[in-house]
Amino acid sequence: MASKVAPDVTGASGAAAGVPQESHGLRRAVGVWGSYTWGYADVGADVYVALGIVMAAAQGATNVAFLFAGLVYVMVGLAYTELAAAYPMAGGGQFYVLRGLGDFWGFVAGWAVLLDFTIDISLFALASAGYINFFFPVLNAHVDISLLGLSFPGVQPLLILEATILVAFLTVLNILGVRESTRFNEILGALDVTSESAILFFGFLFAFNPALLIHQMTTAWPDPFHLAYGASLAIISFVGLESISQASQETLRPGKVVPRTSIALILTVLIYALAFSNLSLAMLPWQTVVAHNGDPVAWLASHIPILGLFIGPYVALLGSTLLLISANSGVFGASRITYSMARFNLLPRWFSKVHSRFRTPVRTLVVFSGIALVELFLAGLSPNAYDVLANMYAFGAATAYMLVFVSLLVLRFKDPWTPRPFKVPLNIKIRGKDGEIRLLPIVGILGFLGISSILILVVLTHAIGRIAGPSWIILGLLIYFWHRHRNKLPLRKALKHNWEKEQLEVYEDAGEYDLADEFRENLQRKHQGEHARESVLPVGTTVVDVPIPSQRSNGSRSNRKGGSA
Amino acid sequence: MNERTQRRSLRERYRLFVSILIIPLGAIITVRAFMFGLQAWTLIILGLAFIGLGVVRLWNYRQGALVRDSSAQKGR
Repeated sequence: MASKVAPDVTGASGAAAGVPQESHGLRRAVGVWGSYTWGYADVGADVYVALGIVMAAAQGATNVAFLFAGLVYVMVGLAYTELAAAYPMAGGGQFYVLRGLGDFWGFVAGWAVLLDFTIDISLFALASAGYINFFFPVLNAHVDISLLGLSFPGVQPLLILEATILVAFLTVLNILGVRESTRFNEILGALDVTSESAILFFGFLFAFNPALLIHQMTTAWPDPFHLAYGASLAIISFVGLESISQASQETLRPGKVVPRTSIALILTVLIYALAFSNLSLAMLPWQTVVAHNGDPVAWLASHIPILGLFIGPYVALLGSTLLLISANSGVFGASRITYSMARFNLLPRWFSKVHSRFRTPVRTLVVFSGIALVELFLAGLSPNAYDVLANMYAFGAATAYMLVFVSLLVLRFKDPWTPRPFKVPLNIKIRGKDGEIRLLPIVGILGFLGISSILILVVLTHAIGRIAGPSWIILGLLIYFWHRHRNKLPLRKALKHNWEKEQLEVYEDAGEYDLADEFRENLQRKHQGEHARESVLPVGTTVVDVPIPSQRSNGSRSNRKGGSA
Repeated sequence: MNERTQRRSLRERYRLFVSILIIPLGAIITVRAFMFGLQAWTLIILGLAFIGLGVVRLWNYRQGALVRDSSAQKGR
């Protein structure tokens, strides 16, 4: 994962509202495996955290909670895959929403993703410390603390201190611009896939007891409130697909690579989450896993007969490293998305300043790592800091994903001209006034309903998410309006961007010459159509839509004439 | 065929090995879950998902090998 944030990618986006351009750009060097491990470093670690948290809520129905969240996640993943392959620009969800819904909603989505990145830092640093404590359980000690006349029972001060040190360490690394080696990520990703597969394989072969699972599903089935709470928390085990789309601007041939890696990642993460939740319920009483919510996967692995003796400590070590890398992707992602938002005039340009010596965005790194520490300390005052942070994590993810679904639907209609190397399946064809066919994605609508239901569950069932989540959005909106007002920019209206030019430059830069050709042809057809409609017709003339064979669906490649440039 | 086998990298062999292992694992989970009837529906889904994943991985592997072979022939 490159950790030096390059301000502008192609220079093309400097057209965005006169934002000053920087001369250096992101190098396209991420291949198929690199793109996969980039995403895996973020999503793959989630189950290490989520298992204990979800089990505490959903108890005997943990597997069902994961299944429900997993189905929604598949739809979210498909939407991200389509958008990342069609618009291979840095910025991820925030950028798609900006394209589809304009500046205001783009800001809301970006700010919600930013909440997730800051929580990512604190939650994963905390979880990494939790796995380190597999070897030093004394550091998990609970104590009662009195502060300013208030008492806080069951606080884990040493655990919070460990996590604070980890956050500070990661921030300094990012400020210095120490590159997290893609090679290191790849090796660690491969090690983790192998280890998780081994745990599942040996667990299902030697320790799997279906009778225990059925017993727990029947006797420990939670009430509807806790099932809903668990399902909404389970979404946190699937957060991180954003990383692949964030990296798409650094990916070689993103039109081909991104769909392959995204779908592989979706399947891997889904099956691991379902397998771990089922195996846990079929191996151990759910209460014992909850008691080890700091290191649930290591606890599970240590109970596999014979193998558990050495695989338990090994998984704890691997888990702590993976989670630390995941926390680092939060530090890195927060600085990158802030930079992207500042570039589009959604946040003050103060954030986009790059340090002259280190060439890293020091201001965003310090500010957002600082916010992550504040969140960590506040959550640390609760006896279950994991649960508090997970509450807010779920809120941020659900809000951003919901807006991404809306922009997927809007962009299908507003911008049918952009070639889509991958399309979300199950579509209904609708012919527009301009004769162009638009595809209404059924999966997109189902995904929107699914993620909306999760957001509603978060708001209804999470006391912290209900208060802290909307407060975060309101704080962001105040900053947004202040910044736009101060710079005499429209408050609600979007600034003008030359998306077509920018997109063509990105395709060329990515080596996607076929997509660039196709986009040019589609734009030509669009402009011809606009010109024809503008020509004056005699009064009483009726325009009839006649299907022309060459005018196929949006992004159709069948009418391409030229070859690659 | 022998030539293709020789050209398989370590990563490919690993992928092939995992894909082949996943299928019996899925079958074991499914069969053991079926012994408990539909009560173990989540396990049945999981077992079938493992089998499906293994088959898809093998199919993808075969497709990739075919593409590689055809491009190698074109190269000659």
